Amino acid sequence: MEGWEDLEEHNQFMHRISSWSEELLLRGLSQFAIRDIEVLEQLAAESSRLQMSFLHELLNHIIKEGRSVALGQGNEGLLLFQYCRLTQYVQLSVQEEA
Amino acid sequence: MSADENHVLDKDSGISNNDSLDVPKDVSVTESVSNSASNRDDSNVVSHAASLEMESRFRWMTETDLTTLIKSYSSSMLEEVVFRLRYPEEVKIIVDSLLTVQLTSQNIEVSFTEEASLAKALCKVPQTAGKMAKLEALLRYRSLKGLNDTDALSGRVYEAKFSLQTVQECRMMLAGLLKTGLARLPQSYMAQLETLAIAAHSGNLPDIERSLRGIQGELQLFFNRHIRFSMQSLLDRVSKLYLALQVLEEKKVSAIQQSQLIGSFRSKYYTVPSLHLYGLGADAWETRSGYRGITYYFYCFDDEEIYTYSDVRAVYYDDQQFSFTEHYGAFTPWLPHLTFRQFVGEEVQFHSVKVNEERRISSGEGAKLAILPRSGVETLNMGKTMQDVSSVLQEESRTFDLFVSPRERLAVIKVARIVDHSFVKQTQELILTVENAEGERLALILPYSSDWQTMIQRLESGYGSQSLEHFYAFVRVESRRISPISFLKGQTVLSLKLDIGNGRMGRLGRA
Repeated sequence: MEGWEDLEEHNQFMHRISSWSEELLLRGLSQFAIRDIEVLEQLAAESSRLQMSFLHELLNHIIKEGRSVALGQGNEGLLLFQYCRLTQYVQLSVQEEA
Repeated sequence: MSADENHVLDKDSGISNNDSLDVPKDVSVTESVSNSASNRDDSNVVSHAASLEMESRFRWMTETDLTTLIKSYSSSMLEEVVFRLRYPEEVKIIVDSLLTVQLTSQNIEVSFTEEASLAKALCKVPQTAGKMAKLEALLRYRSLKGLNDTDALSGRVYEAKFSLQTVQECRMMLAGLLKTGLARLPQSYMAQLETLAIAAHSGNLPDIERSLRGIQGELQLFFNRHIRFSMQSLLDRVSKLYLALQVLEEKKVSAIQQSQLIGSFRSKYYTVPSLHLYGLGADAWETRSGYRGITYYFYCFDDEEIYTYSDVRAVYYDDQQFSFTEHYGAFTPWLPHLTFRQFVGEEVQFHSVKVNEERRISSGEGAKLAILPRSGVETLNMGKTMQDVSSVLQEESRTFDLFVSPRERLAVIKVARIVDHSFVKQTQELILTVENAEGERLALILPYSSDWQTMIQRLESGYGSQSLEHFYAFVRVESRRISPISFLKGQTVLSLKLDIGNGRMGRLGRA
């Protein structure tokens, strides 16, 4: 069934995002680095491919703010906020599947 | 809030005017209602003169700004009055030198003077209760006149008073956790959480306190390297609370939304005039945190919702016992010699009973209970609670609100027969397959527990179920399963966990 494969793909994608979020929770947002941006850019590209435009937007906010923070400028508070929004988006989406 | 709903109900309950000698017979309140709605150019209609005069004397009741009239009311008093307005009440209006509003089922009379003040109104009920009765009478009167006070009231009821400083401190501390990361988080963070949880308690932020304690518990598991620790669960708790705090801090949301975020310490119980209830069944349960209890379910004809009464005991100490059979057979607090078992199989009328926002009935004193002749379940119209085998699965009622936990969904389903039953060893569940008259099938799932071993064994062996046809199943609808609570047929109720173990199955089968 085609729908089932879509669902699997969606779940795997959500899982990839939460793996990144959980790893960052362990490491701490003050350790946000350029390599995080690489991971996030891959995820953003994937979200476009899956036509998840709101998720794409959420990821781009983190990329933008994270880049400034990683370069020593930027607003850490805003990055935290965007990170929490992304986490809750994934959480609600996983709940919906359950 | 449902002032609109209340208005409709009030309309249905009918208004009557008195035949007092002080007032000309032809002046009726209904006339004055239509008069106020009619064109003002119509002033040459003589018969309206008297009612116009009455209208001008008591015009303040509808024309004065409500916020001015309720200025001296505390938000908890307003909350209780708004709660009571959700229930229908028969309103009678008598106009003589005073304008009297009778709340018939509560047996309360409030007489308003010409002076635009609730303090000047007369009511025999003393003190706070009287003050609330005056407001209830005024609001019911205004609603009869077509006024909608919902906005003015909810603005005051949900006036959220909380410590903004505590909100900021909590958010800063969560930010600290997120920035530092779990790997380098010092154990002393636990003590900081404790301090903040106490601050949240005194800062009137109940849900914030609960969330902080949840995070504290999760972190304790992390520091103890406990197997039950879940990174996802911690991340979920922290990010959810962080967003909630941010929203509270920005103060951009409405008062109602703010009060949802803040939560309440304990749900308050308010007296409602009367409740007409129909017993649906009882369910026995036990939580992982060490509580046991029985919940009794009732359908309410007044507002077409389900009400519950719960008998709960903490059993986390070894010497604490809770025997389901014993409590099920115990006497109710409302009528001597009425056991809970009988209570849940009856149709009853409560007067002056206390209930809370979640429609839980309080065991408190002062409530009067009367047993009514019980209608057969087949003759009832239970509105949205009544579902079909096919519709119960389709209805999408789950909401994905970020800060609101989902409500329990209950339904009564018409069933033609049980077609199959099997016990699944892997999941320790009994599956009853039922079908409706059209042959559509539905699986009802009962989880195994040693307490209802007998019931499961009897159901599994098909005891009585062959003779059980054309009945109603009262069920709990969960995300992936439908669990039966009771079966209803004619005037009988059979609560699966509590009755079948005692061999009452056959009775329903033959009914």
